[in-house]
Amino acid sequence: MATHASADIPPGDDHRALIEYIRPRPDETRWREIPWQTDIRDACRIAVETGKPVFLWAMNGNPLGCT
Amino acid sequence: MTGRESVFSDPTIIQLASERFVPVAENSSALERQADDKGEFFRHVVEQGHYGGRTFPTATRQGSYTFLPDGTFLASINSVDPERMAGMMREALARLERADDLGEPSPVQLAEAGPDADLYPADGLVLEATVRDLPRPDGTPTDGKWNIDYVWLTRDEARSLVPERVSVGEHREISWPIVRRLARFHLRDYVRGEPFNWSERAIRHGELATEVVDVSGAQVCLRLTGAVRLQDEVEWVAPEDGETKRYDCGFDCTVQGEAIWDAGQEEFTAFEMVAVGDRWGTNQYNFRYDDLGPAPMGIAFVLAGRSPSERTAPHCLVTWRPPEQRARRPSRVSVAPDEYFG
Repeated sequence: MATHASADIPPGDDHRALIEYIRPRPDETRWREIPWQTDIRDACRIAVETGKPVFLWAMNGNPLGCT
Repeated sequence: MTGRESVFSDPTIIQLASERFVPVAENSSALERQADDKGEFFRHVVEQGHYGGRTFPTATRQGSYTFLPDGTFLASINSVDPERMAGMMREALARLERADDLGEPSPVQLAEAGPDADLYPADGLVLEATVRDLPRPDGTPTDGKWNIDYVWLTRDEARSLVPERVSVGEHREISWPIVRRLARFHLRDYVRGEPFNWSERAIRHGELATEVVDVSGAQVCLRLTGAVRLQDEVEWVAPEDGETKRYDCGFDCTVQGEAIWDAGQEEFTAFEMVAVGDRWGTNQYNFRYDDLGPAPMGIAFVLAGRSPSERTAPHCLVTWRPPEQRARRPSRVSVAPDEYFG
């Protein structure tokens, strides 16, 4: 897992630099490239329409939010 | 959350999930208990999977499952190894292609709509919150983990952040229900996992304010400032040894940021806010046992997008029970809408 170097952290009260430091980088958010549905009902309806099976990622909390 | 950066960032998994399946992500702990057709459907699927029938050390059914829309189980796994995950997905596709030795559909089929509350404030203010440890003063490295959550404010609450007169220098104290919501449910240490909500008594200090710093046509630029101190003794009984665990926990932070309010559209077109300070202690599920602090942590709040995944409810907010059941099981990690919105 990639980590930030201490040198990356901005000094003082630059809120934009702090936000940039805290927010995930593109290499940390590739999982968002998957077109996740958020409700099994919707996924099953789309599965009927497309003829594809459903892939469910189930975690405590919510895998797409705080987990 | 390790799965995000291991399995679900792997190009093969992204391709398989996106092209060969209909991918969906949901809260396992909710589905395990949900008393409706969706809960029954979920339990039919997962009881045929990797944790089927298991009750010890936990009864969790977390993991990845493949199935047909009628609930016919194909394959499952709980792994952060991309190769093992890809193997499971290919096994599911092979079973489907062979169309033999498949199990039974779920006896309970999904209704078109369920009792889940649609509380998403489409015309309000939805923020994506990211939490991450900040560099330690002594140079101790952090583990790089981060986590996200969503903050929901109604349209009226969003408007209430703006001073009544939009002239440079005008100032407004943010109302207590909003300060309380941010403090109890969003200024938490969820870097490594799910924390308890803060109790009301944990809010030792809380003030947030906005000030107009620029006006350009309908665009009103606001500065956000504030400070929140949270501290409480948290206890729980550990299921593994039956012992009561007690920890002093806290987060003492300052808040700063900037936002753009479009007075014509009556909506925020930009929102950047960060809470920075020291956190300490641990909860049952946020895995800070080896890192009790105090140590610096930051939470960044920005406008969320509009994709389905960015409509994910705030972690603490129970939307998945019928209204009459939402307050039945008060929990330290989840609250009913009335308690969230105040």
